[in-house]
Amino acid sequence: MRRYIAFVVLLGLLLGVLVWVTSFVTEAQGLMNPLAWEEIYDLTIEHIQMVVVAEAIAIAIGVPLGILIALPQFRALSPPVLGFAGVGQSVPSLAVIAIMSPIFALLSLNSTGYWPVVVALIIYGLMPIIRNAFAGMSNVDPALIEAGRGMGMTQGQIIRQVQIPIAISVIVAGIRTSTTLNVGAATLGVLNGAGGLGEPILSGMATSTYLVTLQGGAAAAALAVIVDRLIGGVESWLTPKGLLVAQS
Amino acid sequence: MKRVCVGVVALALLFVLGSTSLQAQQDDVDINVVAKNFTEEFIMGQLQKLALQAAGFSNVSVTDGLSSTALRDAMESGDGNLAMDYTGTTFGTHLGLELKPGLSPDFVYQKMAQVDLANGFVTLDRSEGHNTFAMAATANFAQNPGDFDSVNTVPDEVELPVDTMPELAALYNANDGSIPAIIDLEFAERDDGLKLLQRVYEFEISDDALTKASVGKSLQALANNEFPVGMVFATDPAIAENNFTTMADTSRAFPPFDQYAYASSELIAEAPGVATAINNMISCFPGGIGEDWSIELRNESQTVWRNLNAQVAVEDKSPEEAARSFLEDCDAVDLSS
Amino acid sequence: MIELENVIKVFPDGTEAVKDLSLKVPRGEICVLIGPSGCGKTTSMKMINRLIPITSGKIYVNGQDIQTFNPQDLRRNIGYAIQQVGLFPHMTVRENIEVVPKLLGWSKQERLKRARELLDMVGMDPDTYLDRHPSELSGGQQQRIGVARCLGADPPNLLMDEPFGAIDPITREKLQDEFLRIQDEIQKTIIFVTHDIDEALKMGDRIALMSEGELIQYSTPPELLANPANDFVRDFVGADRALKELRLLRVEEVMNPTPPTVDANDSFQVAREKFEREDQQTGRLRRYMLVVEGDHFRGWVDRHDLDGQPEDGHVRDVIIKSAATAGPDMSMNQAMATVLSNAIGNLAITDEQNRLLGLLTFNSIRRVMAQSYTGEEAAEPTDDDTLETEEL
Ligand SMILES: Nc1ncnc2c1ncn2[C@@H]1O[C@H](COP(=O)(O)OP(=O)(O)OP(=O)(O)O)[C@@H](O)[C@H]1O
Ligand SMILES: [Mg+2]
Repeated sequence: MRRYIAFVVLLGLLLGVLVWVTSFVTEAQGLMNPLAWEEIYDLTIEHIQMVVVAEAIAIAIGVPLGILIALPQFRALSPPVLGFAGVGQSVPSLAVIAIMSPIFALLSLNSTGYWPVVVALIIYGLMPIIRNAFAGMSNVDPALIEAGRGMGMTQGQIIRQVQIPIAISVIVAGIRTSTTLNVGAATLGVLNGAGGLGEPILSGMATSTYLVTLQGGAAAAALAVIVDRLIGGVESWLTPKGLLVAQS
Repeated sequence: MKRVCVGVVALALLFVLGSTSLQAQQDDVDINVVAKNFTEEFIMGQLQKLALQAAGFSNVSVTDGLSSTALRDAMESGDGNLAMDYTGTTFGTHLGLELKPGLSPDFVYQKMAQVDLANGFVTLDRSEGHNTFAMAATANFAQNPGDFDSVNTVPDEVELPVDTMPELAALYNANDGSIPAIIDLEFAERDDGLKLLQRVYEFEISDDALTKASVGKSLQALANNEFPVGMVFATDPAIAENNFTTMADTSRAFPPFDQYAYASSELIAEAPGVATAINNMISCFPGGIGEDWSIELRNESQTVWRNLNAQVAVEDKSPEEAARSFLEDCDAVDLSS
Repeated sequence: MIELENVIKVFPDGTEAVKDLSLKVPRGEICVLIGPSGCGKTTSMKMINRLIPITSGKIYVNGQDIQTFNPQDLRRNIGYAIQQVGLFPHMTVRENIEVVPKLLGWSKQERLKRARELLDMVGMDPDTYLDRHPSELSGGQQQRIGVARCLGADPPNLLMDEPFGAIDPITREKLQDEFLRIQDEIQKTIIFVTHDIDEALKMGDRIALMSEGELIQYSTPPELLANPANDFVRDFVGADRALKELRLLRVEEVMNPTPPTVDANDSFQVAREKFEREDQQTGRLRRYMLVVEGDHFRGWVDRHDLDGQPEDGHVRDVIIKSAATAGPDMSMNQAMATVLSNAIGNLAITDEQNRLLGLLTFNSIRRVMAQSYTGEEAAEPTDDDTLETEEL
């Protein structure tokens, strides 16, 4: 309940700032004009597209990978995989994006715009997903896996019917962390020509029109808060009831 | 004409300051050169120092790395007494005068010198280097725009290579504004950036064709031939390095941003030799006070600046080494003394 | 039926966990595996459902070599209760019980019917508990569900690894009693692992005592107590073997099923006559007699209280309430404890409806114990036991 109030207050504040600047400030100090709603809308869509595509791919890679390296057969792979993903995460998001563009150029791919940024976001967002999927799966009480085996479940059935349901909230929490991080990291995409809400943030700064920076910042922050809350909802919706009772 | 102007300045000085220690020993004069935080300014700081040392001034210090406003503040507070800046910057940003398309470089310079004199500054000579935004095209595009998918029609008025703004504008207008361009965020948004060019040359770039990115990224994308058209800074050595063709701003949409020097009136009164030394150094660059504006002169001057910048940005010399080797090739300054 | 033939298990690290184990559990019997921690109980059991591969030897379930089955099929047909209960926390009680039936492809109705049946069997109300989650159950209830789950698909053979471990002694005893009652009905072949010799003696039809991977003695509980194979068994069973034997005896087996009684509605005259008749038959003076009303036990009467009472009164006017009674299934050691803790000499044995089934006297307890120590066969209880004592 307290978290819900915090969410509402925070979101209200951010949207309040956004509405104030966008609808009520007509002339801003600086070299450009405040953005109109349509522009904010377009940039938000661009932003969401980047994050959603990157996250979808990061989830498609990270969740199975995290689950795989938690299996006894592939346990030996967990240190290198987690180590690799850990490096991806410890490099600042700006650097991951900056590195991606020359790599794309080296591969004779278009190094400008959307894809290098999406790939950077995938790499940046992979770590929390893999780590949580791995932790969630390997923290399932071995006794439960043993019970499943002893009752005649196949490994696939144990993974699907026992481990994943128990680990699901941890897995989704990883996705939540990853997505929220990437909503922030994606604001840097504009440096590579990928647009998004980073555009008003940085062009506001470049032109000393700080209200525009404020618009972009408030919109990006509101997006992060909403995404966090939404995935939080998905998390508790997916968490089996028996585990919710156990937690409370 | 140049000499006349210096004469005017000197006369004005005598009038303003009376007869204070005009003949001070050059050793007694403390000169603090201030400079901004990018390559061209680092080099300018060193150019001034070397020129002064060549003229016998030994107490010269250089403080660089300042932001544009910090430099002006330093000059106003007296922490710095000599600097190089850009005419358009002082005119528009520091003095708040209105910069509009079509202004001639000399008009801006003269007007600014006049106003700043009342502020306690003596405006020294200028070059024609005009370091500001410019649209550029890759060599391929400039030579053969018709080879690009986004170009269906090359109108008659375009005379290859494409190297002027009206030609570029004609290309855009003949092709639904759909020729991809990548530009810096600031240039994209400020009213006196791309929007100004579009107003003056009357052309449109469609939203889909326009990509906004960081300065570095735009240059890189252009260098990689990922975009045919982009924005550059006119004296950036990357232009020469990558063989970009800059679009001549024939209607002077952008006000002049020519490199010039200015000093505090006290310094000049105390040591008039400072003015001579600096003006000699600036005369190593094409263009100058009273010169009539021409595309050729501007290109020539910009090329000199670009090559100078390239020594630091491309050849990895220190700004001082670059400045020294430049001045060694210039007869107006004698470094050997 | 489960049969192990010269089974050996050597783990990859060289640990010889089971050394040449041969064991036969006949259909419908409980075989308790017991021994010190690490002696190979769990390993032996897990080899039966192929959770652990055998190094050499053969295991037969219902006469068929387990290697001929696909492991999953084998396991679905052997009930398995693991050492740590291991209920799935994300599933309801019903889903937990239905795991194996579902794997076997039972229909939804069949599964539900079975789940209800099993809950009833383990003494939990289906309507209350079917949709609960394990976290909403007490430890004892969870153990019950663990048992119900391993019975899910009604497999003929069960493997139970300390199914009643880690639980308070009272609940544990209760679960054991209930389980024995259920086993009476379902007659499964069970391998039951425990640490606890008392549990082994109580639950096992046979006990396999293991030490360091070897089978030391395999016999019935009384045999184990009476004839320990060696000092290890003697030590393991403990110095209080005789007391333990009491546990194996149920009150029913020792009590006098036809004690003399008076009816609560008898007049004092009739009661006095009954006392006198008893005295004549036994040649001893009896002081107390059981009071019944029809079949039902009501208490005791002291013959001294009959003296000097008005003639029109009845026995019920002088009835002495009973301090304690016991059921016929109670073990003798519990019965003795009841007698001692209530400071009484005689214990009326009644059923759940309080119908009188028999009488257990302190003397009969004493005699049974004496026999345990000397190892002699217990004599049939005689009427003699029911007489005597000046105290209740
Ligand atoms: N996977 C394994 N690898 C190597 N040794 C093992 C393995 N599993 C068990 N052991 C060893 O085998 C022996 C028997 O273990 P087991 O689990 O069967 O004992 P237990 O009798 O069930 O003990 P407890 O009463 O503590 O449950 C022990 O020495 C144990 O350390
Ligand atoms: Mg064990």
